[in-house]
Amino acid sequence: MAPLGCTFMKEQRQPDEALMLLYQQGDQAAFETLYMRYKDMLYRYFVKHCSDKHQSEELYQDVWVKLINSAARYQPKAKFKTYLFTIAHNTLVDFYRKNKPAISLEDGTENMAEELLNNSDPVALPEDEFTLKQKTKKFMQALEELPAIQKEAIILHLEQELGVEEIATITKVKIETAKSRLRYAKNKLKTAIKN
Amino acid sequence: MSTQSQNDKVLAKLYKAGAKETPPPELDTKILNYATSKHKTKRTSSYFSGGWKVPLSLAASITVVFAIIMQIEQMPDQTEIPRIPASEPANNLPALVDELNEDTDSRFKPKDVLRTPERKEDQLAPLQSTGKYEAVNKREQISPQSRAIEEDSLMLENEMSQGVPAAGGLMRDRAMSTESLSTQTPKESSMQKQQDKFNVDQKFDTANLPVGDWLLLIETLIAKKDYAEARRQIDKFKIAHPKVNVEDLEAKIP
Repeated sequence: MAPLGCTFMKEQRQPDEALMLLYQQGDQAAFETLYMRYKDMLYRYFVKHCSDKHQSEELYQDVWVKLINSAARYQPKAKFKTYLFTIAHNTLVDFYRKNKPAISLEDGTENMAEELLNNSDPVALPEDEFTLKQKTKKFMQALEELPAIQKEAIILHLEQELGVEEIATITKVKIETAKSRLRYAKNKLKTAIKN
Repeated sequence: MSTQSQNDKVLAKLYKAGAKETPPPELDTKILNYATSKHKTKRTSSYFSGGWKVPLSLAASITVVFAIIMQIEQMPDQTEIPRIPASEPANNLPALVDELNEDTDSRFKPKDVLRTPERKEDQLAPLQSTGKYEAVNKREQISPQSRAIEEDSLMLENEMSQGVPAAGGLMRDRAMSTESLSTQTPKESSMQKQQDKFNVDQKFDTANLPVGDWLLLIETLIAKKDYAEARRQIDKFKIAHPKVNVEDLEAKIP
């Protein structure tokens, strides 16, 4: 186990881009490390957007297959995380286009009539577990009710810890658009957990 | 810590507390297996489609083989043996010797003499280089015309030394004498040369011939129906070699 463990530890320290390049050269273990890093994030990304679990798994699998198939052409021009979720975003857009045409992640126009809550009041951290559960439940319900474009933005921000610029790159919108989407999403979520 | 960042922290915590979905293990296995198979397919295909070593070595092998084949085709055929022009005087030698060999009644035919010679061109060279011709020429001081005939005779002598020494010896004797010269056309002289292989002039001195050669000469004369000369040679033979029985030869003379 020692040799494998040493290899595993060594690859754990390597950045995502290096691992992807290693896999490009034939290192299967590098891909496994990458997979373990992002499998949960990517899965939840689709679970939050799709009500059907089976559909979420299919979309999740499609993204990995696309990544594997394009490994030979991979170039570390951007972060691997950005690259991965760009593929995920495009896969989701295709899904919505085919199955849910009413929902679109490509709509860059915001509902300007909606009042932008300048909610700068601090949100307190739940002190006990019961409260945490209560707030978490409310939070998840509010998240579910968010428009798709806002939901995507907030998930990318909260789950993958991506910045506004990266979100804008993934969703192919302007930075200001990404910023406003995030702002709207946060305000709605804060309102939900406060109530 | 700013309010916004604090709010973000709370939201992040709440999200992580609520979002705990994970993909099923079978889905993980499926995806990892696909990644492995895709990697193996890539490696296998590179040997024959993407790699350069195999095609390059194949091309080099074909080029070398082709070059070798071209070189072999351009090489001269070394198996052909250059033909050495056969000398005219020796043309009839095997035929005449065969005629002699057909007569098996003679008891005095040494095996070596009557053996059909297999002309070997290289045998001329050693004999020619012995200087025999020069010694004869100097000794007898023959004229240039006779010298030409003598050269042909010498060649004949060398060839006949393997099978018919008698004729060669006679030719040597003839070369020593200038009385055989005659004005003939080239064609007639060549024909005469062929005849002279076994056609003995009465003026030839056969006293010094070996017994076998002399007997062979007599048989040749009988075969050519030169009975007069044959009789004369028999008489001379009896005088020279009284102990040798030549009745068989005499019987052949009508």
